[in-house]
Amino acid sequence: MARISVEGKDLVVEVEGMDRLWSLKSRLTIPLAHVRGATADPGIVGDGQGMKLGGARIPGVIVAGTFRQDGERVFWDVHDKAKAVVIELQDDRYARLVVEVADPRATVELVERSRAQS
Amino acid sequence: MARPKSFSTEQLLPLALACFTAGGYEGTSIDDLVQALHVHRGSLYKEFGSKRGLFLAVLQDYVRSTLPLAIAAAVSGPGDAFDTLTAGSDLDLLLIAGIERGHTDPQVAALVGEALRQLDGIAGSAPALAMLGARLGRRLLPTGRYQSDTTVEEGI
Repeated sequence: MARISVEGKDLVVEVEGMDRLWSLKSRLTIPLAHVRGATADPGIVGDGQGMKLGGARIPGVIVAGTFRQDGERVFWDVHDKAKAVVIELQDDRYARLVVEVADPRATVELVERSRAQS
Repeated sequence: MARPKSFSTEQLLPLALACFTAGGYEGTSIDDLVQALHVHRGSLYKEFGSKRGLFLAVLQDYVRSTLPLAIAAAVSGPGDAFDTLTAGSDLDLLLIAGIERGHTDPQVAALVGEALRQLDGIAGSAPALAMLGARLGRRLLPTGRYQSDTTVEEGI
């Protein structure tokens, strides 16, 4: 699970609890200018993650860490795929983030609105 | 290297339009879109950024290309042009955009406004918005996607 907020001109992703351990990350700060959008997408987990570069993957239980799929680096932190949100990035070390959040709809709105205003 | 792009945006927009028209905005999942557009999920995100980004691209193309053609065809055909348009599915995306997204998304609201101004030109003395609410509401309510107390005006 991750908590997503906007601080100034940055999107901040805070990885919560033990997921920090599995994903090897506790906090990602991404300029809003690098954020192209956010989408609630439970189906993305079923597509697989490609090669694990660092982190943990137990199918059906957890996907956390950095993976490479189709030549793109993707950061994952998902237990419950129903709450997965995809945040598409550009000019960043990650092509996209796939993170579980408490309220996917509210997170998608926050990211899309903040992008529009930045 | 990322997977090379094997499609053009122009090819995808009509397919996505059909998807959103059939399922509405909220009711259309990325799974639905990936299946209908025959593209990889990553390619879809890379091209449009998000579901909202794709919807905005679809709506803009609809308002600036599809709708003017439909209006021109209705005006040159027999009978009342507005009746012709509202009898078919030509305006469904406009109504979906207005009701589902118009009140929360300023960019959608702007495009819906642009479409309504085009329709005002052929709606005679009554504003296109009022006529849309009355006629298209009756068309879409039976689908069960919208409650009867939802009006087009709320969405604009």
